[in-house]
Amino acid sequence: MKVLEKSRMRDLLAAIMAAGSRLVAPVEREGSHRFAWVDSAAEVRLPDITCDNTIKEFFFPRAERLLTYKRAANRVDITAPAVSEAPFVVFGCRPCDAAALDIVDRVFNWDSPDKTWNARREAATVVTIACSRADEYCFCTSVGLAPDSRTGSDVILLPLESGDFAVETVTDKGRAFVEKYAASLSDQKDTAAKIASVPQKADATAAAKWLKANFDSGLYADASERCLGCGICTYYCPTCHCFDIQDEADGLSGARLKAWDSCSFALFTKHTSGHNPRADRPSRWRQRIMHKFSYYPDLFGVISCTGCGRCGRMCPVDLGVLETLTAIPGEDT
Amino acid sequence: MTVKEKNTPQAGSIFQPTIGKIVAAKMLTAKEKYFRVVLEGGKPLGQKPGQFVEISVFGAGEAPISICSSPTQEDSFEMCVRNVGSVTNLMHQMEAGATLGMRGPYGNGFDMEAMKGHDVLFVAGGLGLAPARGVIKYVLDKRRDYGDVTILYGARNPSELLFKEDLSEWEARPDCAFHITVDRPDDAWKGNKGVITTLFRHVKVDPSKTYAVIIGPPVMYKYAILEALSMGIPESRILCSLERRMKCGVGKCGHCQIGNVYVCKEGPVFSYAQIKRLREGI
Amino acid sequence: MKPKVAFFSFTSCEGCQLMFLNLEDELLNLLGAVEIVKFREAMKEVTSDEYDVAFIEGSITTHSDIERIKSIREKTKILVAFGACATIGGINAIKNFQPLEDVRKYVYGERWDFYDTVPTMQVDQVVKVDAAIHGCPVSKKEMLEVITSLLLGKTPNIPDYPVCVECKLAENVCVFDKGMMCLGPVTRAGCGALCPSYGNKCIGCRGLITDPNTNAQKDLLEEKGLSVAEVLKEFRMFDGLSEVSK
Repeated sequence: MKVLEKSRMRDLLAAIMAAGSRLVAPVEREGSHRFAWVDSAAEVRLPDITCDNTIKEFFFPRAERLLTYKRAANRVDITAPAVSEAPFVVFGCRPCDAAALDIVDRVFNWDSPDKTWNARREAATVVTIACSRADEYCFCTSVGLAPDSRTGSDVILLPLESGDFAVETVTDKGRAFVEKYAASLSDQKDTAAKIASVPQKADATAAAKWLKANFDSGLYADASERCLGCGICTYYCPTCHCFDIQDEADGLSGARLKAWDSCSFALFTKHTSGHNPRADRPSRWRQRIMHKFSYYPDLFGVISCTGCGRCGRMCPVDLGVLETLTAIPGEDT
Repeated sequence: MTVKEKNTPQAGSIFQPTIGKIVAAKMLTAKEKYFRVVLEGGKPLGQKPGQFVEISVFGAGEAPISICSSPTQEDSFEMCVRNVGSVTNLMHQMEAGATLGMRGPYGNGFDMEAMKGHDVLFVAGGLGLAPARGVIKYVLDKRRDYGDVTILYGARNPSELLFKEDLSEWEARPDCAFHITVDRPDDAWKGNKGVITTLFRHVKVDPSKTYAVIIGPPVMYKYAILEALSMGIPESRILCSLERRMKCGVGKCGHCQIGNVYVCKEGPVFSYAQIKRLREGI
Repeated sequence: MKPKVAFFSFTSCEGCQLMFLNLEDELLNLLGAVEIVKFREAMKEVTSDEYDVAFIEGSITTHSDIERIKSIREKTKILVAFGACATIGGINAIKNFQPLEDVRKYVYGERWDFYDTVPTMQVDQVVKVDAAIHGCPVSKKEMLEVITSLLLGKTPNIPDYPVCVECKLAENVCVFDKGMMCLGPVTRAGCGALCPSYGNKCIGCRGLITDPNTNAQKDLLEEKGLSVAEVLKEFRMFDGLSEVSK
């Protein structure tokens, strides 16, 4: 089978860039790892677990221009360049990052497809590294995924004892990638991959049932007593996809932007009339939990959580969705 | 939120507005202004009664506005806009001749086919008359398709009554019953006094063949729905149009979500049978 | 006719007015759209005693301040609270936690009884405020956003989410993870997480967000090793007038 030798990883990345493709890969800054556009293979540093940020921002930017406008008396001209996206490779994300793309695909494509999301999805080849380590925040196995899930990946690299990676293609796009960069890969006899063991901490599918029947549970008030409402968990979540549309005016011209928003903010649901259907923190925490584990599966057939653990890992008060999931009473309810 | 943006292309996207021209504008009350808009190229909006549009005022952004005209009026569409936010404030400064952007129509609208052959009881409170007017006009334009038509309208005080010409027309029409009330009458007011639910005693319906169409502020729903239920109208034929903070209009941005429902896509029209299941609905 | 703009200074360091002058490039553009009629820090003469927009810098701390702000309110169409002293009381509110007599003695010495003072108030505790530009000092970006919005007739887009959001977007390592204290989780964003981006903690100069979970924030600070008194001190530096500082 094809193997990417550890010592040749940078060769592969250099080859990708030499072929004219843009590259997203983990880099290190102040001791933390981030996915970023890289200019040279030398910048790339693989973290043990995954990066702080997610790869969603390369498909669904924090803020992007929908159009620009110019106003004159009784007329307005709108400019919006064509949807197109140059090919790029996402290298070194984890199965929980890649799986999120497949989840968000669904909401961005029911009835009215979001063409820019789709253009970026088509332009991207996702090369995932399966996990050989997990930390106490990881819970992919609690949401039906695993440290070596293939969902959302085009190619998956399975870590070997030697530090090299077995290369497995998942999609046609992945096959084309492996063929194109065959020179950077070598052939080796089958070796066993060293995959992390992630204990199952909750059962998200069973939880969905309980959530539906217990809308008024005190669980949400308990959890949100600590919640600062800072929104970090939603921005760091690979599947959170809520956004706002706003104009930035500069005199008579300006731009319309689509930017990340968060259901943790009080203003998120506030009507112009002043009425706010989710005016308090417990109802907003409930929305976040229900959206991921009940509403999204209802609408799209998948849980909108990949168990990456960032919501807990990055939270100033250590409050992730896992805490609520594990607080859900067991089967007797 | 505002952050530094990356410049990326968007043509042909679902967020691209169509340009429309205001051909008529006038103040209906101190707070509400009426607009008639013709789309670029004169094409019909093609809406269903009860749908809404996202109106752009470039520089201020977009706001969801319900359509208050009937699709039987094809050359243009109408809106009644209360001055409450940035977009609506700037709209209030616009007169005939001005241009604005429009996306839509969005939402499910009322199922006018299903309502055919039935009696219709309209209950409109305050600005709720705007979306209700589109449905009422449609029913009156296709009068023979529907049974008895009853319209109940309540406003806070006489100066806040909308569409006074329509109100007198409905009052005068022999083929529909019309009742109106104000919460706080002035000296000149001779009609009914009190909240809208006090009008129900003027109304007799045959619950076995009646649809109730209820549109108003959140506080009105609870009481108006109770009245309709006590008349014996089944939950599936009590229809309400819900207010939510619609942003994208295409079931993605999350602002209007109630439970597993995106109001902008599966609503804003829901039957009481559906609303009952939707916690946080009203 | 260009709207007439006037600047007024109350109890403050007048640094926010300086920030306005620092607009430099945008200043010329702006002067094309408005006419400044009174601006002590920038011009000698008062060109008109009439104005449409009044920028109020500083907090209200004396009886005469109260009278003066009321008379400005009567004359102006739009009143903008300009900077932390005006929007949240800011540093000036620290004195509210000591007996006023002590404060006067400390500041004015022997002739303390000669000088009037009242507990520090933010401007909207005395008169209606139409728009607020937060921060100590105000940020250039937000100043332009508010002024542009006022000219366009739209509501300014002022963030009502915490500094944490902008801090994460700036890709900073969490201040708590560096072992420092931070008011970012309850403080209104809009500064672009300036202080944390330069290695400092957030000191809350832009005031609290709507509906801050201040109990959780207090717990968090205590958990990180601060005593109750120290936690209060953190909040009282800028947010002395807020509920949490009481």
